[in-house]
Amino acid sequence: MAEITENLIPKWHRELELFSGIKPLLILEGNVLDQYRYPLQGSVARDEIIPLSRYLHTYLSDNGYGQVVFYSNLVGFMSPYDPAMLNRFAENTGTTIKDGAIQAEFKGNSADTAPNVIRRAMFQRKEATAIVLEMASHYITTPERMDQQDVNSFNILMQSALSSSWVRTTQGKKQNLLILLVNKLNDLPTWFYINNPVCKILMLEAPDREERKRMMTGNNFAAFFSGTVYRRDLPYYTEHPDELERIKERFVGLTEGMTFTELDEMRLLCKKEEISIRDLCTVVDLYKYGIKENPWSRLNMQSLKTAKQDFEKRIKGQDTALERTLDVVKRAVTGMNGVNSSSTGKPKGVLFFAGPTGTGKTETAKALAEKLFGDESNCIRFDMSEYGQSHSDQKLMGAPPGYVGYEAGGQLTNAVKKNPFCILLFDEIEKAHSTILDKFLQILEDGRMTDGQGNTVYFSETIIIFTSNLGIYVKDAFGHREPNVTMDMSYPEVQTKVRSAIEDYFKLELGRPEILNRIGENIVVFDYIRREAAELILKGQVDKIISRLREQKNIRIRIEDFAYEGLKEAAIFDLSNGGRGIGNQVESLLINPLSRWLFDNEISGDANIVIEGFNTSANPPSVICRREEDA
Amino acid sequence: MAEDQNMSMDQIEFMKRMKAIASDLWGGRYTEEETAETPEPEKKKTPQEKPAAKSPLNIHNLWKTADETIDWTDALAHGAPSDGLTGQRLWSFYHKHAEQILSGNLNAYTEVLQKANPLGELTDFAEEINLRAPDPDRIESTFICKEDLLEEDRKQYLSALGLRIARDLLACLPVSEVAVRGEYEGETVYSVTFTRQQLMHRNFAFVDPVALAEECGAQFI
Repeated sequence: MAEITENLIPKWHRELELFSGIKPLLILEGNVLDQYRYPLQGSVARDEIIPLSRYLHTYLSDNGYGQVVFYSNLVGFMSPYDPAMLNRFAENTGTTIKDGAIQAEFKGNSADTAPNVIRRAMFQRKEATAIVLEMASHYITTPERMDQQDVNSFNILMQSALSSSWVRTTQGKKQNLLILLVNKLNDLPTWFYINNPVCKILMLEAPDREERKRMMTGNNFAAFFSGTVYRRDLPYYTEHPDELERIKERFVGLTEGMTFTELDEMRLLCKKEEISIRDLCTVVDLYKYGIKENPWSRLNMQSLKTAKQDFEKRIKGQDTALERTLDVVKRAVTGMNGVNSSSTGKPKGVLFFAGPTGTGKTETAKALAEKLFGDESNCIRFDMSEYGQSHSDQKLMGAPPGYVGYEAGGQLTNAVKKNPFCILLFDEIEKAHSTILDKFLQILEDGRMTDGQGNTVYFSETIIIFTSNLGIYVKDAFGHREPNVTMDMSYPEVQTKVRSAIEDYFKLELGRPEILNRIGENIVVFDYIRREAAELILKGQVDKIISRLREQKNIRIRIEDFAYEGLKEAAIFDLSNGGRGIGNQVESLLINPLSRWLFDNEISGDANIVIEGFNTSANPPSVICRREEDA
Repeated sequence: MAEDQNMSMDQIEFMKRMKAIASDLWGGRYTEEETAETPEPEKKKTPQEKPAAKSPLNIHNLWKTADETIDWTDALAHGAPSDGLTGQRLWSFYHKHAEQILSGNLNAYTEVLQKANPLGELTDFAEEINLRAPDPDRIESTFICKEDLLEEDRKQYLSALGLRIARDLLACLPVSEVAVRGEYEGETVYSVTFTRQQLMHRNFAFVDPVALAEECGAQFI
């Protein structure tokens, strides 16, 4: 925060100074509904944050313009900050004031339409005049569908600017000036500004880092807090200026992309809620998400300590992968994460799960959601194979105005808007179209995304997980698919080969190394399900079936040891499909035959069943069972 | 002037001086030349548009209104009214004192209390109201009860006046708590400490002052 420019004047203001004496037609485009910090000492105090209209009135009237008049097609001409200016304007243009405004339609045939009044004002030499056309985006429906009267109106405006008069003032000669405020330049007919030699377009953008720092300096900073809080906290931070600087820096980082209006609203929220200086940054979450209990803040360190054991109950044989996943979470929780939101608003963590199919990648994401947010429904899954088309980004982020589906918004942006504290799981990311990868780049870099409806969605409280089967198969010299890793390789070997193949994919095949850079060292390779883990998975699944039958139907199942051995050998014989393959075998060898046997023996509940054997070679497989009398 | 008969000459002189200072500072709040925004053009008022007559203060509505909170941090940051509602002269007074007030200077507290006279509206409800700021976070106020009001409805009177005093003082200065003590015939009959936290976000139009005072630990003796 040390290097604050003494007199910070934003670029657009410097351009306004530069061109207001040269170009009689200025178009201010972009953030026109925002408020702005007035950077000069003048009729308003320096650094005061004021609406754009007041800003322009102040700047222009302080610089010799005796008539600064605002026009809106709904009200007419006004001069809200100095009514005397409107009186002079009415006199100089031969118009009359009614109810505090000179009423004039934007189009029409009368001599008193707004463009005709503007023409008279721009031609006269009695008083230096600046006319600001507010909401100029809304004077016509669309530039493509203008009727002749619309065209005439803009034509008169253009002619007025082309032959604008110079006027002698106490501050030198001034050229009468026409300023249009538009949200987007293409709201105006292109012929109005393209190849127009007297027109200059100025872009109004959200306050940059320097501007936001400015809000945090001197007495401006005090205005963020209630008097009681500021008086109470100030002595401590006077003693510890470094801590104060860190808080300010963090706030400046977190508010990237926000408008002055948003910053000012956050300031008022901070005051209203009596937020302390130490907790200043919490106002950003409060402002963005409203009152939503932030699960990150109530995350229990103790519960994270046992997370690995909890995870191992659900995911078997993935010690290293679980350890690495939890490392990222721990970094986020302790604020040590390079990609957390503490300073930049980026997502809390980014993980790239790779490895053979059925090894627990999705399950790990769900387990993580349950651990962090109390419920695995907070893991929002997107199957990226559904986003393989070039226009798929619209499905995810929302279609732009005028396109089909605009009202619905985007699937991803809607989900995060509804639940900003979640895990976003993008399954099989390699199947998404490359335009989507560009969107992800922005999310990973800035932590936010603007949807088709113009709403900004923040990803700063999410963990983003990509899963992929990249690196399991590679193409040989003839383009044939061949295994890159096999079950007989050790985990370190699998890990090295998969990582290397992923890097090759992004760098060489896709030509997008920047995506890999955003993921950093967070590629987590899941190992093959090996025999020991497979036995645990099988046992877990069988136990679950038995307990469910007992709870729901009061059917108590016991499997004889030798029968279980038979089931085990058949179920884990082929582990190429990982845990999912074991599940399929359990369904085929146990669930289906057992259901059939229960049905055939008319057992719907309250029974003790002993499974004495599995006939796994039969087609379909069957079970050998007997019913035991109740003990 | 009936109440003046019970006051000493010094007290009467003091009250007059206070009223003059308060009128100078606060009375001009609504005058046209002090409004920061340009006034709306004069409109003919229809009977419906006439402002509702303010009902006179009594012990059954005393706590429902209070002075507007002075935004000392805004006053520190801006030389001109940032809310567009406060007059320039009044704002300049705030601006001049903001730094000292926010640094907890007790002399500045006293000066603001004397000049702003936040309890000026309450003189009809107590024989005397005294203020003391022992530290920058707390104001202590002691009022001498009026016999007739105390007899009318003891708990209601003490709670209503106590709450109103606390609200006005919390609005005036950036303190965290206001201790209020009521005295009658030299004995303490009421004491309570209201914190800013306790009174935040309340709709006082619907608050029962006795219940609130009790909730805040009031002692009725």
